[in-house]
Amino acid sequence: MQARLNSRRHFLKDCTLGLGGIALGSLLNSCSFDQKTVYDYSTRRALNPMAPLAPPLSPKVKSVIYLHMVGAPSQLELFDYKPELAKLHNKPCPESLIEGKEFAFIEGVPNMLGPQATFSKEGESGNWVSNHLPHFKNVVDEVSFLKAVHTDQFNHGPAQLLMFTGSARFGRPSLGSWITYGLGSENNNLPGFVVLTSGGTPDAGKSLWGNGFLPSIYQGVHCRSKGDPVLYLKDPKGVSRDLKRKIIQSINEINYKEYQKFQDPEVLTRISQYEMAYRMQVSVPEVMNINDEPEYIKEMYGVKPGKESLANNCLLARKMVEKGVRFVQLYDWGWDSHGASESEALSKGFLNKCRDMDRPVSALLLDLKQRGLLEETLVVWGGEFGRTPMWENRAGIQNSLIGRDHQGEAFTMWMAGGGVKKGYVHGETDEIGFRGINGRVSVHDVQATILHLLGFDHEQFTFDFQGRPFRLTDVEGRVIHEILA
Amino acid sequence: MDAFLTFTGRFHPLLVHLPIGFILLALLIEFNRKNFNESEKVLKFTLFWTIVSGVFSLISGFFQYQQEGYLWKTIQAHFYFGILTLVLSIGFYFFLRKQAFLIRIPRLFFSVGLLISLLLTGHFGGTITHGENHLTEPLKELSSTFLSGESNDFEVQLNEDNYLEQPMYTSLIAPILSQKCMSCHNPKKTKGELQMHTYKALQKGGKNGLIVNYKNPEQSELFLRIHLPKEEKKHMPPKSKKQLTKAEINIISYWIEIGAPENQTIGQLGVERNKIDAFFSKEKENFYPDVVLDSPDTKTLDQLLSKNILVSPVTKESNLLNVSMLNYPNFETQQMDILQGIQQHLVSIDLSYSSVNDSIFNRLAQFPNLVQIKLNHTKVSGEGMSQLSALKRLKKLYLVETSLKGSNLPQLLNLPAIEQVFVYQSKRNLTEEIELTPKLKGIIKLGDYILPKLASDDIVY
Repeated sequence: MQARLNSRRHFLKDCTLGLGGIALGSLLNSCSFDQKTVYDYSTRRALNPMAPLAPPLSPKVKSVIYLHMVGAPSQLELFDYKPELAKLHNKPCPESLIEGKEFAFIEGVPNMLGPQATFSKEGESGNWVSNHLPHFKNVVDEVSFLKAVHTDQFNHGPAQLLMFTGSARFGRPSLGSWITYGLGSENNNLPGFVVLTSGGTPDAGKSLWGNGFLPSIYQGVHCRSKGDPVLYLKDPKGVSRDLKRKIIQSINEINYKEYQKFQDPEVLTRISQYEMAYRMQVSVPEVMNINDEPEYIKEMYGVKPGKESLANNCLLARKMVEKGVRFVQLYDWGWDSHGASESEALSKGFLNKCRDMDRPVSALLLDLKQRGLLEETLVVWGGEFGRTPMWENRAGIQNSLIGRDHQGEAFTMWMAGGGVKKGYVHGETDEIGFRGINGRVSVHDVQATILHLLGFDHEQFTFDFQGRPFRLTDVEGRVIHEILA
Repeated sequence: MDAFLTFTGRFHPLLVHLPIGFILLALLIEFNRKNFNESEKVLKFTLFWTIVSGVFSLISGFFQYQQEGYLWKTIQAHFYFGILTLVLSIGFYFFLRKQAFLIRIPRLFFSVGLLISLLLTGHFGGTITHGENHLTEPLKELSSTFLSGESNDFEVQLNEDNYLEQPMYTSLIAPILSQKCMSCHNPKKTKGELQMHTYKALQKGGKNGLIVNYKNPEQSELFLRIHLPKEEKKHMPPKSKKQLTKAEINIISYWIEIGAPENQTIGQLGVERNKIDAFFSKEKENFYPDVVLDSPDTKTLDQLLSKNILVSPVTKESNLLNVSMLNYPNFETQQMDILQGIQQHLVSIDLSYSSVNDSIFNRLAQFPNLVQIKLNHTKVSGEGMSQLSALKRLKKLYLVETSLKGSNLPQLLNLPAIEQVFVYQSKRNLTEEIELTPKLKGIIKLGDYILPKLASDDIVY
């Protein structure tokens, strides 16, 4: 087999390129005026595709915790205070405003819906926070708001895909995959890209943490906070850990021979995933165990041990970042407040969601801060789009419960942590929160900024696939320098 | 007629190479004339054609001067030395033909004179087409590369404090034009009859009319040309010259779009910050020390990596190293020797979760470029911390979840560059052990944040 693979042609090809390369290399080296030599760390990737690499530019943070509120929380009830909208409450929406516009559910002429919250200026920065987020008021000075984010998608699945893969269609690598592909992971015993969900699975499914065309080692690992943290990680009955180790060793030796022959990176992925799974059998239950935390910390987050909750996930996110996990993605489902049912009503389900999000998210910021982790971690909060200033009228009839329809034109996100301004607001919407009038930023801008903080130029960070280089931000995106410290 | 003269003039750069070649040939023969039998004959023949081609070069050169907008001052030297070269060629030719009044002049005068005059003519000619610093420029760059390790190619700089009061033209546009356009468009050298050294000159435009079109900004010649693909002939700056950066193209375009204002300030014009971000000086102090080091030897690095010790540079091209023992929980203080080979390179070390003890401070003090030390989740009590005072760059120290004793905290005041020390302990309160002086409070981050429980936390809607 080996003999057949190493044909004369291969030999000649290897020789010419190899020898030529060596000659050229030493030639170039001797010509160089720059005396500094740099060790090539990327060779480590040949054996371990997750080996940590340094970014090309100076990074501000080394980890990211991304809190995504699945369903799109209403910016008008949380951060984007619009007193003018209150005056228009329950009055018909001027037709000029919605002419030619497309909505997910609104038909005909809906009524306007005033803010279903009271707002106050909080912290030293004096930024607006609604009464639904009493704990967040304590940490408002830590964050930079983006008040005029916009997206061109108004359905959950495509909008989520755009937010996390840079494209509304399937097939692109996710944000976390790009980052672990670029930076690798520090902790040998834990995955570099962890996904934690609460309330349900996001609409776009696992593609949101998929590797797309990147090697599959870079896909997110979905950990569950209830039951087994990672499915199928436990050994079957009658298989001891020792036996397991021997099995994996033999399999990996065979696989490595295969790799040496064909140089297929997917074989390396397979090897390192076997090894990772073996090590994770011990390390994951350890890091996923929140019981050892002091009572008052658990109290601060409001954790519910043994249950699946955003609070548990926030505490886990901190523990993972502390242990060197590169990217922790949290999805909290249930923010789609149309007003079509009680759980979707701004007057009921939404308030429960706010309560369950407010405390753990605020606690996460404080806990990261007191451990000195907030300076090297980026925390991002947002939804896939925003909600309309109109009261949803599904099929032309105003919903019986209070709710808002999807809106891509303007919504609020925030970032906190290393390299980001504290207590800052960028962007502004019009008097009713319908459109951004100032400092509008796109989904690609947000992605470009995240990559920038990790030390990447989003325009240079590419992967060649099907004949052209691809990047997360496609052909768009601008780093939001306004919020950078 | 004009067109014909211009056409003839453009042949000058081509024609001049004929006499140059002939003269060099003549001089080669002249200096080796002992090796040739018929050297005098060949020399006469060569010089004759030198004179013929020289005359044509002179004529075409004169036409080019007249047609292409060169100033007399610019071409003066080239012109005079060109004539001198021609005169010397003629003189040499007639000297060889034994003209009576020339024979008394030594032969060396003609040959050496011709060589010098040719070199000078050539040099002054090159100065006209390629700019005055054409020759010396690469030398300058070379020396600056040697000195600083990198070339600084951006000089347009705005200042955070006063940029809003700066006129957009003088503080942003003019410096860019002066760097990237003016070498060809100035009173001395006026390619396309265009000068760009003042606002008035820009208004005046060039051979092809206005370059800034106030009525229809997007049709402005300046706007169009900088946006053309680099391969296009009309693209400016020319392919061979230093190109405008993306940020520069964008800001010039924007300036033209808003009507190319002369005196209004950046603040008055309401220029969005993101448009000019690239032009602010990046003089924020670096977290990592500003030292240039060679790569540590490969063996040391390979050895560290084989031991599961994480080693990575701070950025891809840097030789400053971060080291972490995250995957090596059994690492002990005595094993610090393993880092000997990267003593200078180590800028940040993470010993969290490792098995080090208080003697680690003594060992750490030997790494002079350390700016950050992490000892989270270790057994250190802080005894001997003051030895870190040898580290003149140490800014951040992490002692979270350790056996840190409050009584050891005052030692931190000895550290010369320290900015932040994180000492949060989830299971105890250090303030019960020691009362912090205001000075200590300035650097020590105690943590201990809590979110008071609220009644609303339990309401179920």
